[in-house]
Amino acid sequence: MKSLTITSLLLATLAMTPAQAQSPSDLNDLEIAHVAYVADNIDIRYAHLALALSESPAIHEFARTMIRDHTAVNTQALALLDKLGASPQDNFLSQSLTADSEKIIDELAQLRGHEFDLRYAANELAYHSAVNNLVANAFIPNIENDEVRTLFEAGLEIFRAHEKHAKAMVESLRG
Amino acid sequence: MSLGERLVRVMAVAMALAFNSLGLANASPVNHVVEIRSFKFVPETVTANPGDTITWINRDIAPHTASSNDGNWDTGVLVQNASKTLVVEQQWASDYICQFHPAMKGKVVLAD
Repeated sequence: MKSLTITSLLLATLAMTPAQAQSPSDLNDLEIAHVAYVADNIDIRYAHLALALSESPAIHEFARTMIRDHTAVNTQALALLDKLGASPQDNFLSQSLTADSEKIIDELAQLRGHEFDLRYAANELAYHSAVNNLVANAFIPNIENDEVRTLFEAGLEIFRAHEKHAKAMVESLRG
Repeated sequence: MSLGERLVRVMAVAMALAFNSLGLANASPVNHVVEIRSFKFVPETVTANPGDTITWINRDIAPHTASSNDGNWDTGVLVQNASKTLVVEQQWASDYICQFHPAMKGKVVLAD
């Protein structure tokens, strides 16, 4: 089965040209918040899968950190939206990320042992890289609310650290 | 007071002043503060005396720890704005990391 990466799926999504142009840069603050919430939850799902299927202590530690950190960001995001009296808005990009993640989960669920660990780590690296690129280049420059932007900047710091951690994990697993 | 007694008193005061200026008098413990922000320990290196304290304060959204590499001490989990103060002990000089984000590194150095 051709290996899917979230990067290739995300790039394919962004390249789509439906009748009504849909670009991540056109999303409003509440849609952006929804994408971030969904992206966090997707990584939390991947982490739970890793805890269930991997036997590697290093993978488990990484997965627990993903759950811990993404949950902390989502908690802050929801608190901020509550303070602003707003609700995140579903949109094409959230739906696409969710659909793509189901394919990744199906692929990961077939694997075990070192093959699973390497695929999980590689997907974490690709996923964080793609999402960080989206946040840095499409979201942060276009967010209108200062508090939302500040939260995204803090979140980007966290996810860049995750990307580095995932890269180190991939290098370690490849020997 | 005899000349001899006066001389002894003057020498005692002079010695006390000298010891104070050299920092050899009993110094009060110092509290060192390390802020955890943007996935860094700030300052990265703390130079402390046994009996001093170090307070770690987490300013990040992500939870962190400060955990010595040799297992001698650990702040436990620090959520955002939580802090933990530990007393520096003689065997404390060591590198430390955040257990959740091992790229985060700090160092405690004992003063001579």
